[in-house]
Amino acid sequence: MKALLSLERVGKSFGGLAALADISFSVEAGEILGIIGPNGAGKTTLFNVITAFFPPTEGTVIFDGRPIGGLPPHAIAHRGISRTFQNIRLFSAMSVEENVMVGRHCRSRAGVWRGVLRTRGQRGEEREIRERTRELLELVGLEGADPGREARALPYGHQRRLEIARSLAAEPRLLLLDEPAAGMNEAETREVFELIRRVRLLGVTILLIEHDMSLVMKACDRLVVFNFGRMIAEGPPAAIRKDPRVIEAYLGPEEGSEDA
Amino acid sequence: MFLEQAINGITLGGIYAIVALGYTLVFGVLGIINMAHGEIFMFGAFVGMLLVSKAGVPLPVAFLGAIAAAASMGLLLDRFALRPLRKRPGASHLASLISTIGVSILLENAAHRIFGAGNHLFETPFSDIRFQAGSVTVYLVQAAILGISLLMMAGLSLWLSRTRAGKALRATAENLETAGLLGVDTNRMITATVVIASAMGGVAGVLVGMAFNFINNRIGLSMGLKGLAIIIFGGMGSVYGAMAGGLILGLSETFVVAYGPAGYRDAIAFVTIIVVLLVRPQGLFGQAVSDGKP
Amino acid sequence: MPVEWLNPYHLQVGSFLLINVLLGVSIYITLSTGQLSLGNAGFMCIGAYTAALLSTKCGLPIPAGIALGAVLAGSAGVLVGLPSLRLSGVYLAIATLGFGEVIRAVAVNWETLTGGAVGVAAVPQMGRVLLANLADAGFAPGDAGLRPNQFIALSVFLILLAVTALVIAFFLRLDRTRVGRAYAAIRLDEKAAEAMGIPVTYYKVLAFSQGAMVSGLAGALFAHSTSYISPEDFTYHRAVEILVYAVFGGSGHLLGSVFGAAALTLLPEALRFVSDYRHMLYGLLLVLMMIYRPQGVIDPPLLRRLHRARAEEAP
Repeated sequence: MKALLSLERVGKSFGGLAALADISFSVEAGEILGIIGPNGAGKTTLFNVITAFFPPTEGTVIFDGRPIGGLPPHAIAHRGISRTFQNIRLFSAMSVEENVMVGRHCRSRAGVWRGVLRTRGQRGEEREIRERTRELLELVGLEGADPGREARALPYGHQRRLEIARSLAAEPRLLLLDEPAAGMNEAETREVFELIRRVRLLGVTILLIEHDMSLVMKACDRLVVFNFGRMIAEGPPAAIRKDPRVIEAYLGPEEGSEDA
Repeated sequence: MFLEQAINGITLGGIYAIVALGYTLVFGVLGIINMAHGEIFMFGAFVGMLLVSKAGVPLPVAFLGAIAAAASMGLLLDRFALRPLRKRPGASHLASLISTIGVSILLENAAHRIFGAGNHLFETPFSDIRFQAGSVTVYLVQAAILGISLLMMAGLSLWLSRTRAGKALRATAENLETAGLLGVDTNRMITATVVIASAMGGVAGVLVGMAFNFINNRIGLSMGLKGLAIIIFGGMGSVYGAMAGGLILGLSETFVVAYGPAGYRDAIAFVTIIVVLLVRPQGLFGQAVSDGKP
Repeated sequence: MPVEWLNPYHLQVGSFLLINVLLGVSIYITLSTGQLSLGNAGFMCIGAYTAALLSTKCGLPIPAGIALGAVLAGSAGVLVGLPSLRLSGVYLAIATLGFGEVIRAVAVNWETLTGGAVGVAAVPQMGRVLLANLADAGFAPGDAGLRPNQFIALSVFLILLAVTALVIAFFLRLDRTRVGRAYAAIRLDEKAAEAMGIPVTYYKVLAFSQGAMVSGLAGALFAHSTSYISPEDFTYHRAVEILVYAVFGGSGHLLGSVFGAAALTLLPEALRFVSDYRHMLYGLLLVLMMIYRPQGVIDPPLLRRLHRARAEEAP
């Protein structure tokens, strides 16, 4: 297998404080890699480093064989990395449909003049965008929602799914999901799990931050464990579950409870 | 000649600094630009003018009157144009900017209605007293302006660094939420800041009247624009940046008028900020802004 | 038999209304990417002076001067927009305000070119030039049943109407395309927009210069509708007035700004006492709008409701 994304000794510090230090791991094409760790361990910072919101202060990030350091966030999206946010960041005043259509931006190209003149090519492109949007809404289970409804009016769980649909519209090869099941009940979490599996079947590699341990254990092929901005363990879920360092750092010094 | 121009420049710079401090205090605490500050300052000048030229009271009383008038306008501004926006969650940062622009337009035109568009003489009893030191002439008014502005700057620095209230204000400026958690009544702190800044505007108004010998309803706008330029130049929210920026602008304007194209005097401020924004967007004394979260 | 009801004064008010509508559109475009510009009076100034000077000093045909005025203003927009983009909203607002003041200072001081504070007089007026050209071709306004002053006012109004309609149609269409969606995404959440692959800087500069260009166009048309311009026409107050159009009418949709510009131009005409207090009213309006209806009178949900109500009435 070939590494789709690899991080080599990546570090990020803010004003001298290291938020991430010495992070090295790879994500194989087609796998689901889980990133776990206590709050403040640097998981979301890692996503921000990969997507260039916070350019790394040390080390290199290599995507698909090429370093992506120095690229602006939109260029990284163009290369094929898409993400969701921990605290959902939809375009709240836009409709459900438009949110997904925006996601299609980097896979379409009509500019001002073609748009205003409605050239044949532009109309074809818009049709394609709408079709793809419908498919994606169906994929995430929002086919029943009114596509013209404002995104902020959707129930919370639907907003999470809409965000996933939006990021899939960019046709990513790597999808970064930041706590997709946060704040969801058991049934909804199961649906998210199903959705992640469906997304993987599309051939998308997934990097998953999640606190719900049962979801992580079921969904992920491998796990990387963070604590205080460093990687403390890496391996398949079964091994991580037994790793004493992980148990101590993450689940607490005593034998872990269910919802650590 | 050169020395005299330098003294003129420093006097003007002192006034600019006081005007800029009014902006920078509010920006430091609230993170907003109070576009109405210039007009509050203008009303302070008018109250001072009425007291000195029309009622004939001594200058210190005129200062107190201008301070009282400007401070109460600051209070009203906060109560009616800023606080309602603070209560609404998700109000965009442009909302308060637009709201204070509204107040500034309202006040400027109210002044037009009340005082007319013409110039009003601002006569001080000692406007002709001057000293001669060699070839250099210094007017008493200039010395007074410089003294008062230095006093205010020193007072403000001391107040911010030494007193409890000043420290609370700085904590609020640092982080509104944390200050709230630490038990600082942030709402009161914000109101206090706007009121103090406005009061300083009142002082600056009288100083401008003394310096130029006349005032009109447009000085709020013209001085306000310079104050804005200075805080961009000196770094938003930086107290020392406002002081230094004020002096630099005062000096450069004076020298351009003396030795260069006088008509462009009012454009200097903005040419400077456009250059500063290109070269050093955080300003001379400002710190690079990192917005933390994406 | 002249058409008596065609009042040149009303047509003139209509022409100014259309120019204000264009200005409303110009600020809407910049705001649609979440950028607040207080420099649109400056861009308008560039457009107006360019057009006026090209026709008075170089004898360039009016349409060419107008086009060049708009293009020059748009290019100035790129120059101002590009560096200002590194700045957050407040800095941009002040930098653009400064830009407007610098432009005005240049107009006042470069006397040999701009005529200084006096301004440019005898700018060819569109309607008169058209009338003269038609007269050469053997047409007299009487043939259409119009007095000459009626013809002049009417032709200016119609030219402005056509241009304004075109501009509005252009941006209404743009709103519904990939570019329009990118603008809206940037306004709503810049970071999320960037994460979705939208080159934020590019679109912000694009929107900023489009706004500048429309301001310049409005200025150029203004110069050729009034035949006299001076720096006083492009002060900070004009910039605020333009902002009020969008804030009052609604900055969430193009039609909001159009409505705002139209309503606030007609209001002082309809109510005499309003015109004395117009600027005070604008100030009050800004504060009240920010407190009670920051999205403006017209916003997308309202438009949707109207649309739905009409759809229900139809069958």
